Amino acid sequence: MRITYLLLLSLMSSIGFAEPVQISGEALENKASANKAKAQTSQLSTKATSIKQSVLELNRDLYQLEEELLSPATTRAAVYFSLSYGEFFEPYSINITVDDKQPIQYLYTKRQVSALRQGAVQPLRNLNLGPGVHTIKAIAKGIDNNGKNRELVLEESVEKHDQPLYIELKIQDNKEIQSAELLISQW
Amino acid sequence: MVRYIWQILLIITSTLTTVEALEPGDKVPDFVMTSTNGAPQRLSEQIGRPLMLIWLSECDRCQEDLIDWQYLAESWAVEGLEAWVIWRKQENHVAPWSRLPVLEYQASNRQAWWFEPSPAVMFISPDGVLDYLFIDNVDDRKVEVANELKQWLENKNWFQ
Repeated sequence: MRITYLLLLSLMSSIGFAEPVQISGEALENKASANKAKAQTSQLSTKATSIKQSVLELNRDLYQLEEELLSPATTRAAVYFSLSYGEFFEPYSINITVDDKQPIQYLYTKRQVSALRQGAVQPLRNLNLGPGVHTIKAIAKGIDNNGKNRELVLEESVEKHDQPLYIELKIQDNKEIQSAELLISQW
Repeated sequence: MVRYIWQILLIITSTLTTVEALEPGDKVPDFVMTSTNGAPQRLSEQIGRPLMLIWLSECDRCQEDLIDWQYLAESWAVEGLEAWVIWRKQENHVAPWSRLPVLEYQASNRQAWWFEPSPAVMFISPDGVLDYLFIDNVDDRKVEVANELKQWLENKNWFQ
């Protein structure tokens, strides 16, 4: 009886040991394949990232090339608009012509005027201008601090050299005359 | 042969206008227009608020016709309703006076569009979708428009 008990015990123990060994073997295989898959995935993601990076770089280069071809420094110009304080004038619209061509028109809502009052500088348009003297005419329509309709008019000549020309049209308050004026400056 | 071509052209034109027509459920294209009584208004800046657009047909100092619309809009302003009147200048017509913003459509303004048939009334939901469109005999259907407006604003399930 004791021998049978011992035999049964040894059988149980052998089965008990054999099973975990089998499971751990499978687990090892699974783990190895999982690691392999993981390594492959990380390799693929690294490749994908590098491809994405190179596509972005290529896109940037193409954009720069396009910019240089379409708008080289010799003809590149841009017009910006800003409002300094805006206590005496609230713009509703601005109309700009360069050499009586290329009309630029923009309408300002209350929200946009509020952004301008807080210091926003609005890029209005990129232009292609050849070197030489150009006439800029601008009319800003809006209301003054008494709520009356008012127009600010400006006509100025600017000279374009071989460098890009950046023009800023600014409506600036003049406290001495209790009014606003439309000014032009070059960056 | 010419007759066939004419018919094909007619079919193409009719389908194009149908496609382009604005219908309830459509996203309303953005616009910005000058106002005859205040600052310019841009449709996209009204996102988040219900908006009623009143498109006028021929109107020369037609403020008396606008009074009902103005009272209706003002009675719902407390619910956040914004209302704009859209007017197009013809010949020597003068813009109507109103406490509501009267926007002026100008063909030279590339950022604006005009709706036909006019007169018309639109209810635009806070997410910029056209919910209601009234186009036939709008001036005689003010009570119906007012009832629909009440229902529309009381439901308030735009963002659900």
